[in-house]
Amino acid sequence: MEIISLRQMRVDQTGTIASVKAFGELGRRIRDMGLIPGKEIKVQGRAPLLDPVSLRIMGFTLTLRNNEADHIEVEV
Amino acid sequence: MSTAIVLAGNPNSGKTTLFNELTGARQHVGNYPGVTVDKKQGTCVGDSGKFNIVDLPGTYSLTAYSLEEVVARDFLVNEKPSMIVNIVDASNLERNLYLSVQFMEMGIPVTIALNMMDVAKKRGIRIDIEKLSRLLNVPVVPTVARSGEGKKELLQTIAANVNGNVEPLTISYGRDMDTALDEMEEIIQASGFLTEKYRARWTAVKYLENDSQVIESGQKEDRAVALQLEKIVEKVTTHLAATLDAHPEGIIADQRYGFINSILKQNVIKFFQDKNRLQLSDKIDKVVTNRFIGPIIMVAILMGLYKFTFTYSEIPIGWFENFFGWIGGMADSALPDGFLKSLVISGIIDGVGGVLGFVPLIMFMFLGIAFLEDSGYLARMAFMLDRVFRMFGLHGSSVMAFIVSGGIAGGCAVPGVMAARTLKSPKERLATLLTVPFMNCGAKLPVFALLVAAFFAENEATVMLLITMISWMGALLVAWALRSTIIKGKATPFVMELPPYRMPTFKGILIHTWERTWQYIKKAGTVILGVSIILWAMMTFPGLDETKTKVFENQRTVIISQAGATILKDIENFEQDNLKVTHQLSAQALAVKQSLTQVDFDEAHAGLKNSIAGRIGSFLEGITKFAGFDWRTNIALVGGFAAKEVVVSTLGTAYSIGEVDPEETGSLSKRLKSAKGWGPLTAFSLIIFTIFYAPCFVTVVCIAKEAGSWKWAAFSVVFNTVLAFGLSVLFYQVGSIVLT
Amino acid sequence: MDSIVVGIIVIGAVVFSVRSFIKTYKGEKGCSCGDGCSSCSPKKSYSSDFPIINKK
Repeated sequence: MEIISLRQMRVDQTGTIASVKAFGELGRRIRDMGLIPGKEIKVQGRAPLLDPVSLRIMGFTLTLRNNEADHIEVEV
Repeated sequence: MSTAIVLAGNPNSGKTTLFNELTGARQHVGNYPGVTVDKKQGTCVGDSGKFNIVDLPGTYSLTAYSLEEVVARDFLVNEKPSMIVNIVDASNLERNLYLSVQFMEMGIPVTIALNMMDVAKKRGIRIDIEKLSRLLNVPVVPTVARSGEGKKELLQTIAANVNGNVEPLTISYGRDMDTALDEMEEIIQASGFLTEKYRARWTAVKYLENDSQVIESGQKEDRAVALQLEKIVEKVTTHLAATLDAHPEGIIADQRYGFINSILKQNVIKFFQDKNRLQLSDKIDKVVTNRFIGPIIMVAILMGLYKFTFTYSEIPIGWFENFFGWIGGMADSALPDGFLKSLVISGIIDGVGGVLGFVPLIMFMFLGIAFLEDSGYLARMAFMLDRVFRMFGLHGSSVMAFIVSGGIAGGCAVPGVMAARTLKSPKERLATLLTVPFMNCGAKLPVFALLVAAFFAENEATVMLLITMISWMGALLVAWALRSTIIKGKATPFVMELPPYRMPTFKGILIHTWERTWQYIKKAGTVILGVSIILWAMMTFPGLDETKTKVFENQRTVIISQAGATILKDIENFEQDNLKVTHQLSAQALAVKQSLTQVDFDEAHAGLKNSIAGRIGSFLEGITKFAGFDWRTNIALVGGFAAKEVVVSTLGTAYSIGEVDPEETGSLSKRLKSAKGWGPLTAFSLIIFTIFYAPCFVTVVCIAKEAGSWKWAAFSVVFNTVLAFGLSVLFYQVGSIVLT
Repeated sequence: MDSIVVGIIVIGAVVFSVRSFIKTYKGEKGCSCGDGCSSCSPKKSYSSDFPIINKK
């Protein structure tokens, strides 16, 4: 079980969020949407230019930019 | 007699559908005072009583993150509704409850409408409603808003629970935070700090959440107390950072979800399929947002939309044109010649009629866009375009601002400009503000439609697509150019939910479409009517002076004296027989009549050119001729500053005042097509100019407000117009060379 | 007679236009956009994507 940044995950890979190191507006927003430690996520796909990324969490799909995903560490 | 309740919930939870189900036609859209967020209200009358329902904006949370959230929160706090009907998406229960929990913390009675039960069932999600209700201590009613299922039970439940006094939910946020909260609660209670508005504990939690709105109010309310509270927050924050490497906000979010989970874990919810398994929407997305196919599909969809619009609106537009032509004919025979007749026919009927004539096109366009919106496709567009936009210094949210302003077609720059306020970086904000007016707003649509119908009838949809692409490219390039002149700032987060594709409800689309179409019609009947009348006056006065009128009189006298008496009698009989057409003119009589008409035409033309507007137009012709615009077009473009539709209505009036022959009642498109000096080249040059030049008055005011100074508003007027002119001239000149 | 009627209409139009411009400037008109007041606020689905900037 290693911990990597969300950005490094591959499409269709699943993992559990280990930590969310974002603050302020971004942090609030990310947490409101349910990206908190302990949640299981699955990378669903990436936009044509590989950014943003779309993830599956708690049964719905969320999109996030790579530089925002950088704040999230996932245990895969 | 009627109970005030509120509908609230996540976006995409079916809230609007439920609202429509409950209120039907008894709804209207207004505004929350001071902000540009829609306030949808309606009434629901039935067996359970009468309810006044306010549909709050969809939000994910009640933090002060977005304007919608603040509006929702303020409404709840100030209006104190008897009940919050919280729409919860059953297929997305966990995240939806995050908001519910916050409602419950406020202490207002909550009824949960557990919506989309059908979707949940299909996904193999089974929910023990009774248990959920018991554990949350809140009534829960299953509904399927799309079909109206559960509506009756919901209303009954609301009626039954409306007058309960509810204990606010208290969640434990961990020992350290709870201690701090208790401390703050005491201080707040003791000094009555904001207590008429919020409950003490709620205020305390907001302080820990670093809620800017509450903190600001707090400082205004009582500096000393505010300072005390802020100190406590600071202390606990430092402590938590040191011991747990955590932040109060993060812990609060965690604990809320923890609370939700503790309930759901108790067999409240059972999954018979993998939660994160690919659903149909996801499979569609694999194709639709694919690297290669995605963009192609996007263009194809736009093309399809334009094709759909132009094809199906053609016939109804014909009806409208005939109708206005008919009214014009009636006015012509009913009114005596003179100013009033000219005002009514040329100013009002040909002016406003020109704009109203496009209602079918507008309607079909809005219909198509409503379908795209409600289906969820627009979110995919934002998703695919975000990276591209960022390359030009814009932002994924700018995609939404663009689309709202008419990126596809038909919108308004004003909300687009408002949307820009949300971008943190001043660079991003200004770049968006100044480029959003380039979009194909609903007011520009008739201008494009007119020109496309007149000069590009074979390729309407393609040209429309071309117009759209030019406006987007122009916007992106200008944004990029602007970014090199302003310093970089912090970027705005782009965290967005991609809702599952939905088959839009017929009712929903119709409501959307009609709302906007009606706005267009209203604007035509008010603002544009007013401006058309003014412009008519400017195009009529001052008339020709004595000497000039004499010249034309002489011309007529000459023609009449040269014609024989029989010919004159012939013409007279013909004119009296006007509506019966039993009379045929001899060839000579016809010739005489035509030359007389020509004199009338020349006179009207001279009159127009001599009018205030005509003189201004002619004055400008000096430079505009390089772009292919004559003085009449100039008048129209100046008028377009009031509202872009006015370009159409003014052209309608200008080519009507010069048009003296009552039999020539063709549509404006036809008139332009055969008018001197007009051709595809001029038309497209005009199109380019219209895309880029100064925003309409309303938008300029909005820009001034949003950018905080008139400097930028002035910049948008001058810069845009200069740019537009440059591009038009370039196009026209190059085009002329190429075509000769 | 004709001119009087026309004059009244034109003056009426001027007054009306001036008043609406003033209303727009003051921001009293909730939505001065002509194309669907529902489009005056950012689209519902993405509404929470628009964070407010701290009030100036």
